[in-house]
Amino acid sequence: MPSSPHTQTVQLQLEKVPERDSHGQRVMVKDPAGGLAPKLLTGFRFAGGIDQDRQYCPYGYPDCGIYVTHVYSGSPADKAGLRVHDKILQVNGNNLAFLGHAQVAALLNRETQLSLLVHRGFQRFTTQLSDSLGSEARVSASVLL
Amino acid sequence: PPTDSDNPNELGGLQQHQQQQQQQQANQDDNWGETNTALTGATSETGMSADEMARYSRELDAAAAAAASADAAGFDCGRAMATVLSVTLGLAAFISPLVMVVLPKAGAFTWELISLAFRLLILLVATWCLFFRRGRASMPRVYIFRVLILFLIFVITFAFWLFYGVRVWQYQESDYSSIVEFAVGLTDALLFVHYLGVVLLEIRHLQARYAIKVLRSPDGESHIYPVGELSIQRAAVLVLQQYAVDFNAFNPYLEQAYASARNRSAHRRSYRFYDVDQGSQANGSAAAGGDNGGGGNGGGHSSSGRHQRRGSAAGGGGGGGSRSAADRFYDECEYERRLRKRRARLVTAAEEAFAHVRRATNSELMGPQHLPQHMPQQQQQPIGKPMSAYEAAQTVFPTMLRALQKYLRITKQQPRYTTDMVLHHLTNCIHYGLSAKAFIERYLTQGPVVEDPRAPAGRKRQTWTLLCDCMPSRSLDDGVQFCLRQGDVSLFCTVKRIPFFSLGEEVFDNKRHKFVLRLNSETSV
Repeated sequence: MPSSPHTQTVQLQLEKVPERDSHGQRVMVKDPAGGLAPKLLTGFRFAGGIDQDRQYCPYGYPDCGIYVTHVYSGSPADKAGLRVHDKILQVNGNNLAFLGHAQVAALLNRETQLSLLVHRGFQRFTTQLSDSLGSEARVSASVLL
Repeated sequence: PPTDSDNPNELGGLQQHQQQQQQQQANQDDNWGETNTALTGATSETGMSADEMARYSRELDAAAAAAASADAAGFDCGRAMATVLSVTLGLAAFISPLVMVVLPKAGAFTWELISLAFRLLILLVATWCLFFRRGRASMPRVYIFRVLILFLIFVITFAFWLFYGVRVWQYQESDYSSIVEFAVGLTDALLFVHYLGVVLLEIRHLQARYAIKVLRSPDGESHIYPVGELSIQRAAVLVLQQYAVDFNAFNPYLEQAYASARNRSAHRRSYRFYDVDQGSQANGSAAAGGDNGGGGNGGGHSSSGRHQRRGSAAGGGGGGGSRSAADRFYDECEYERRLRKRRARLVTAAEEAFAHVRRATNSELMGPQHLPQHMPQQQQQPIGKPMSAYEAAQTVFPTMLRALQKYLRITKQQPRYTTDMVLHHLTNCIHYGLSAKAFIERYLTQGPVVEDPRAPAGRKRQTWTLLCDCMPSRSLDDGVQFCLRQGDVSLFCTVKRIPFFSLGEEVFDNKRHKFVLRLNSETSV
């Protein structure tokens, strides 16, 4: 990937934290083995996947990769340095390139400690078009530099 | 059926015809014979045959002409009496304070006289402003509110004169200022009655409470108007005023415009009447008896049935009832295409014509020698001698005459406009410097009713008939229906109440008024 001042590829380590409810108790969910396990939170929202139609995404991502759309403040993801619009390339060595959305969700929920390879460089910028009538139309274009 | 005739072949043909009718009748539903006699117009007493219908329509025309001439004379006895009565009453009420003040011989000047004079002046101006107007319409029933106001005026004037008579003449009251106060009291009462009149007659119906949907019968055009609290006859007057402005002028020939050439010939063919069965109809009017009676009845029914269909078709507006849906669709599409082509030609011709005419500049008016010398050569050529707007119109008119004629012919407006009228309009447009599109706007559509130059019964006065189930002086209510009729045109009006709106409020709280982006696939991990 071309390296320019706006793009970088980082490796992030984060450790999931158990979710606490309003009383401070740990929230328990059923695990596939049949018992109860504490629900673990990572603290971000992602969109994308090879089975998704990226035209429905308002951010205008250039491909069908997995992008972080929101990071909850104070969460492990925030402390690890994950930012919005980061593209996650690998999780614990697994390549996410050909995985669908649900499979990525399952993968992320399975692991307790995540080592993410993240590409950062998505920028949204706006251009102004003025036509002969003099009115200006704003076009937002998303560019991966 | 006649047993002897001159031509045996004719008789044989007649019998064959009747047998065919019998077979047809036998093939059809049994109950069909029961409705037989009800449908035969020519054989029952209450029905009408062809010549009777012609006679009836002639009578209708004569009656309409007579009514039109009577109305054109302009004298309506009922209206004149009502006007005379109200004017007399108003004058009497207005004069009475003056008379009350003047009558006692002692006339010391008091300040109340000035206030009396002022009030009388206000009353005079207000009455003139509000009630001395030409009436818009004459209504079939009594106008209740006006009668109420007149009654109040009469009662008040009478009561005050009664008290005046008692106090001044019987008790010999000589205090002049109290007499003047009494007259001022009468004027006050009259002013308040005037206020009541304003509220009842002018203001009460301004707030919209009902919506009247007006549907015109022969062509189905409809509009909807909001009205306030009114009686049915006043609402009918309002509907007619809006009808004159909003609706397109009714052109009875427009329905035939859709028929293409081949359908038009079928249309003409359908008006033939058979008179072969004329002699047998008298025998066939009895209830269906034996074969002969049945045959005669069947023969009589067939021709009069066909006649009945024609009659209903003629009564229903002259449409060819035998056209199928595909024919109608095709005809309408063709008509639209031809209309658009001719409209394009008309617009082009009009714009070319108007391009020739140009307002003469000042220098051209004064003569070619006054043109400035530095202008380029082609502008120094004289265009032509300056002429008046009428001459310019006459010169330019032939270039678009043909296109205009063809367009008027396809929209069936050609009986409406003469050459003089078109020239006059063109002169006006050139005189005021209007464009080509403004000139042809009048001819592009049918135009509103009020501008129709061939409106029936003149433009000053029109006679409409109000048909209503309940009394026309009742006030409007939800679900009331009434019909206004003039000749071919029927306006069917339905009244619906506008609902009561209860408005609520929703406040923007800027801290909570936030938005989130919606992604179709987003998972929280």
